[in-house]
Amino acid sequence: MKTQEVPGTEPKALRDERPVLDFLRRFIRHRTAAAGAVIIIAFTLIAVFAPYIAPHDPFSLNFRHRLEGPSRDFWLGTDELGRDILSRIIYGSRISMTVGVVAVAIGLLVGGLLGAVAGFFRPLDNVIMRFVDIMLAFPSILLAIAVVSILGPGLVNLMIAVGIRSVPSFARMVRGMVLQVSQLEFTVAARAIGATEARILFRTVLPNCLAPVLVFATLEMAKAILLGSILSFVGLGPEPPTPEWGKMVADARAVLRDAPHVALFPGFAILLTVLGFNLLGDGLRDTLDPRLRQY
Amino acid sequence: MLRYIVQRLFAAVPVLLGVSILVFLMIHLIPGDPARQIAGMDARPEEVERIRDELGLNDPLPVQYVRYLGDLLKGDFGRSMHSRRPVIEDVKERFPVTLQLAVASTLVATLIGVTAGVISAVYKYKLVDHLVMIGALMGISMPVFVIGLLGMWLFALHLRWLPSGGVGGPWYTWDGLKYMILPALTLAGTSIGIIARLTRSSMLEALRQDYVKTARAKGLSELAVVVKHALRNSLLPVVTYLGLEFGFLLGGAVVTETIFSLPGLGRYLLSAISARDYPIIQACILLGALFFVLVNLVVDVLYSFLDPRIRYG
Repeated sequence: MKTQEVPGTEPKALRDERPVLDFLRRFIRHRTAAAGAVIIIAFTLIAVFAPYIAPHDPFSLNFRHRLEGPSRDFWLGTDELGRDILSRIIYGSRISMTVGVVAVAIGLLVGGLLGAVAGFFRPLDNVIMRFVDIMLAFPSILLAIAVVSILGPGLVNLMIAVGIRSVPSFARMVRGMVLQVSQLEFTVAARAIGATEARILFRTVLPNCLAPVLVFATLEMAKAILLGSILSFVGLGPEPPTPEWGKMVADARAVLRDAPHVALFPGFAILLTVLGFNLLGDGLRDTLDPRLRQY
Repeated sequence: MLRYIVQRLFAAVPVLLGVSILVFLMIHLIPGDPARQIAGMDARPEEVERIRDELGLNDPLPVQYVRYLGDLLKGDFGRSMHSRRPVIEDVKERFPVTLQLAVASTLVATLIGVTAGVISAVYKYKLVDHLVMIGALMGISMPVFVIGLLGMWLFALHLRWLPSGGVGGPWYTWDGLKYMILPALTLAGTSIGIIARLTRSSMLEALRQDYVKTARAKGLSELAVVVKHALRNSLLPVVTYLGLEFGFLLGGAVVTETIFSLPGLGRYLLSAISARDYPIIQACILLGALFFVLVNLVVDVLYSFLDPRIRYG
């Protein structure tokens, strides 16, 4: 999307002996990545400090102010029960961010472990990857729906379901990286000086997979938040008073004709968060490893 | 060619068996006693026993699975726990709706996505390129239901150009078609973004190749160069992607059908989940996976047809 820098052609000031600083410089210069980072930092702060920021109680009903448009008292208006939409969106950021983090953590830990083992201990490769193939045969939303229908609806089960969905993709991605890094000279060198297999895996191979995995995990965050809101929207998420964004949109469908803002504002909140992670992921991919550019 | 197809078909068999095992195990993965869970907490013991018996939960697990698989091969998906109708009957009624929706949105997504991607690549770094790419990123980041509700509010409730839900006549008449436009566009939204990005990068790659230089050098019009030479060669990754995309569409159909009240498999699945009607849930998940695998099989074959190097590689 932005000009792609060819290694060695950057201006002198950009090159730095310290790789972290060098990365930070390139990252900040990358406008879309920086924009993504700003969005995500903003939503993280909003989630953390929700009780201090929210102008109203997100749960308090106010029947005198039902379905009002944006006003000075209620910046984004009120919903069908007279609750302040802005406050509910602010509290909702806690749920969506948690869904994203927990789901990606599950995918990264379970999928990453499966992938690392499959790529590194070759005898297990076939067994693990056939299982991954079977998981991948389920369309992702259907896989998540299947998990929720087994465990029952609810916020925790939703996170598990979204997490399980990303396990096969993480496994496949990490396996590919491990296979690639295992062929590289420094891994061969580590083996030659007699390092144990476990040491090679954890000290040599996995740290060198970190950058692409980070990019992948960022883009997975976007997908997890999206899928979480979809499951909530169709009624497989947290129970009613919870200010979950997808649920808020679903509840506002009945009043779409007369008060579209009740559905659209939480919808835009989802859009903005997911956009933030997508921008950041794209930007990280460009700055950390231009070879990974896919689109 | 035929050998390749047969080979691919056989490779799909273990995956499909695995899928059937996982779907079969769904009932057994329910925490606690599945029969009691399905019957509800206040059901009488006879009722629980009847369900246990009907689902065959008293037999050893392998016996249950073999019977399940045998029934599947005969096209028997069991009966709904509530309406007592054979699930296959309901599926037959609802499948065409979901299929129509999926096919329509694939067509829309490919058409718009490829066009946008080509324009973006040809006008690289120009304003229109940035606009298309921003639009694509928005499409990717927007939940299906937000696209759907925005479209419904604007075109159905506000402008009143299109109906807000339900179905009309057959799809080839305007009366039927007008009910499909909004759902198909909604479902296509995300795919348009992804296809546009994919086409753009693939086109940029192709436009750098020597054969494009040759085509220009021999004096072909720019349109012919772009469409006949570059585009043809850059469609391969898009074709692969369409197969993967179909899985997303099948899942997204659940949401789209809910929003636009379409009587398809997605809504059938959702109502079955709230009723804990497991035979229906199992059938829908299984059909989704089966269809997804088959479409990807077709795409693989199509791919090898478009690019003979794949077969011998």
